[in-house]
Amino acid sequence: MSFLRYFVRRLFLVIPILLGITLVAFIIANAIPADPIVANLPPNALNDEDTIAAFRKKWGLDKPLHEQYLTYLGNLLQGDMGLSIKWRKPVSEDIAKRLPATIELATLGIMYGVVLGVGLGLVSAIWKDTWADYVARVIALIGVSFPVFLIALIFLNVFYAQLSIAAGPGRLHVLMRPPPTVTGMFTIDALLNGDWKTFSNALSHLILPALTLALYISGIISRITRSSLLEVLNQDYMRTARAKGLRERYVIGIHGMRNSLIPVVTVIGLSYGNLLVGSILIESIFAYPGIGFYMFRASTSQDFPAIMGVSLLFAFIYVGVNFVVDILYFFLDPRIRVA
Amino acid sequence: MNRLKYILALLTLLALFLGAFAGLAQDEKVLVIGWKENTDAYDPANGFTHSTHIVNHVTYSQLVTFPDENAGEILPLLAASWEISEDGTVYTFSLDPDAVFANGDDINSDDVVFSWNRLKHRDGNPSFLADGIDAVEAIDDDTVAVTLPAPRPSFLSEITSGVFSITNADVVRANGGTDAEDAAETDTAGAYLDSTSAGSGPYVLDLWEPQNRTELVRNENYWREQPYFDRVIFQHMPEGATQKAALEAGDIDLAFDLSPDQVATLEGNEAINIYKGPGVLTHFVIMNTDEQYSGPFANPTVQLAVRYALDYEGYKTLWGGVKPATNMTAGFFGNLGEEAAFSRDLDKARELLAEAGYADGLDMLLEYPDFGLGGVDFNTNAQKIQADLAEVGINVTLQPGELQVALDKYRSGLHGVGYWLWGPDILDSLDFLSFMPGGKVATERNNWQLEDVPQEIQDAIAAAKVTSEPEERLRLFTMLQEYTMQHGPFAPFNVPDVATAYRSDLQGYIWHPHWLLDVQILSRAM
Repeated sequence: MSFLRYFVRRLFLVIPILLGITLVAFIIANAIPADPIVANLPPNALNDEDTIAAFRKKWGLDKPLHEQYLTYLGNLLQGDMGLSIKWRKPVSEDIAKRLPATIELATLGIMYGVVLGVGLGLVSAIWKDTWADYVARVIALIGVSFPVFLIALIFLNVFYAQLSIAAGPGRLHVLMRPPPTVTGMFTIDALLNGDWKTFSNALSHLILPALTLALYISGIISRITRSSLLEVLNQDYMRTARAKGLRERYVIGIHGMRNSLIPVVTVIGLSYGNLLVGSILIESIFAYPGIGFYMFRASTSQDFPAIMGVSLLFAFIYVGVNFVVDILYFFLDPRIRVA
Repeated sequence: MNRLKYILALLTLLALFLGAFAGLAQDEKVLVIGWKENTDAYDPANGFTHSTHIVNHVTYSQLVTFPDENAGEILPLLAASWEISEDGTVYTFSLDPDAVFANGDDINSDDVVFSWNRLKHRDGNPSFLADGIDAVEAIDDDTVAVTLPAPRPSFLSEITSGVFSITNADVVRANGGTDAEDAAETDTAGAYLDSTSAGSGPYVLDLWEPQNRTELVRNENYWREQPYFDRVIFQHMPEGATQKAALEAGDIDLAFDLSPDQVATLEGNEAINIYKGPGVLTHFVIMNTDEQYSGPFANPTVQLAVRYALDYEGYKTLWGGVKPATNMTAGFFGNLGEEAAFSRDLDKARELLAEAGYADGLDMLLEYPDFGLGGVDFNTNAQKIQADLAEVGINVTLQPGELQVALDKYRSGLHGVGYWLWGPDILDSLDFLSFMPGGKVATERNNWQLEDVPQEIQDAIAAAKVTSEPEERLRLFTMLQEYTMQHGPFAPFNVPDVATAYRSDLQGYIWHPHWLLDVQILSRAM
């Protein structure tokens, strides 16, 4: 199968998935047993029929559900996600402001997570059933089983509050100004502006939350790396490689790792998606103004346009990450190319 | 992989050392507050949250105010003096001729008329507070007359609120504002007033990034004593643990939302001072008087048994504070006080349950929000209520709910038995009438109707609304509170203390029962 054909086929599969997601998100947002009127109007206004009617009309809540959905879909195709009921601003504007912060955090988080997770997995597989394997597995187990908020709090208290060797909450020190916006990612914008002080400060504020995220995902990555590599290490071609006199580092690095990468890449892709959409607790504890916390506030305020906007964004992220993973399979797995 | 590993390690070390120790020289005197922001708007006619009040208290001025320390008396602010008509329905205010807005404009009666009419007609979140005003009229440039539909002893207390801030009418009009009756549809000044202020307080709103940061800068034209700090930064930190860490690290000067146990861990830290004082939030169990929702708990005898069964001292051990006799906010004029409050009497509770026909016990579904405020956790209290009532044979099933979902049900009067808290809408004993038939909580949320109480109580409720003579007020509020203690559907059990921690070089901190935090009176030790 040619790459182009494979690419187009995967791309077409994405469209019905996204449409389905808009529908499901819309139904779920409307099925929540809470009333946006009560959530957004002051108590005494709840007795005023005129005020309630005006609110319903303003936000389109007076129309039948299917009509609301079709209107939303029509606006969405024109790039309009609507106005947030809570903050009365375009949802796309809020998302554009907060998403770069989350991307910055999740990207560093996945980098740490991959290094830590694959590293631990390798150690565990190569020195199977030795003390090194046990230590690596315990670290992985801690990462998977410890509540992420607890790790975040420990990091914050020990490295920031007590030892003062790491930067604390927020994206920058509270007295520092953000760099001029280009990408919205402070580290990159500071570099583009040639501002090393802001760059190092922004990076230092990413370290603890990114490490927390990394510890969380590295457990899963290391387990998958270990089991996948162990399976490959027992293959005949590995024995052949050794018999040819190849050094062990090449045997494992080239023949072993390459062939054990497919499940690892899948998990890394999903983990990156998870980090982008699932860092609500981390963002909350590190007072990090990203998209996860925006979603949380939108949900508790029954802010339908914001909920829909972020849900769609999350869906795009997952679908996008899976799409990239699918494309990577093409290069990693020759069987796909001949199928 | 190896190269990536080394690059990451290097970047981490670099960032840790450069970032953590980056010196931040400041020419300005800056105050940094860590808080949990819940602002809906900073437009005084549209914002109605704690964080709105804290900011608007210093970016705007009102006609009258309270002392810095308490809410014990009414003091002049924009109004240098005022007169009240004999029938108590017309208040005439004379404006201070020295008062000016932050942009240097004089403050005149048109600004007052515009601000209050805009509040009333804007249909914003706090607009209901202006419903009790019939008319606001400019008598001349410096005199305003306010007419009420009936005498209301709490009126001056009410207008100390930031909601009744006086905005610069010319500036607000120029930015789309209107005080016309159709302001709800035609006023477009909200976005402007959420980005800057148009008031006459000691500070000006410089920046608001919702759920992130609010910044104020000194008003160079302030017409009273200038505040110490040039700039005030409110940094959103939703978790108390984060605020505590930032306070210990010295990145913030004051942590506004610490729980009592977090505050306790800071005791003994020389770099940090702790303020503790009486709070104003009453935690209470509410039992629907409509039997179809609450079953046996609509029975006043069962309600009384619940009041006898609660372990009041236990809640004080958990959160400090006082045990309330009724839902009248602690410290208000006429409050019966702790001496009159219930003490736990399990035998009496069992006896009352037997009298009501539940000698073998009964089941309760306790609905409450999965929520915490001021460091007090609802889940902890709900579990204690469950344990307390189990001792008299009431088997409680806990049903925590997402705040908004639970709130919908509670406000609609559809709950059975609930656990909620109450903070006063107005700092006056009149606020207690919310818990009497005809009031917001009693009737709208709990179906307790006027016809359910004797005529004598109905008359006392009507009289309490308009009486300003202290002795008569005392008699009426005492009567009403005693009645609810014996026959009401509420079981108030704790008014927790408030505790705030701040850096020890910060001076002048006082927790205020109305605006909670007043940044204009704070300074830093040299």
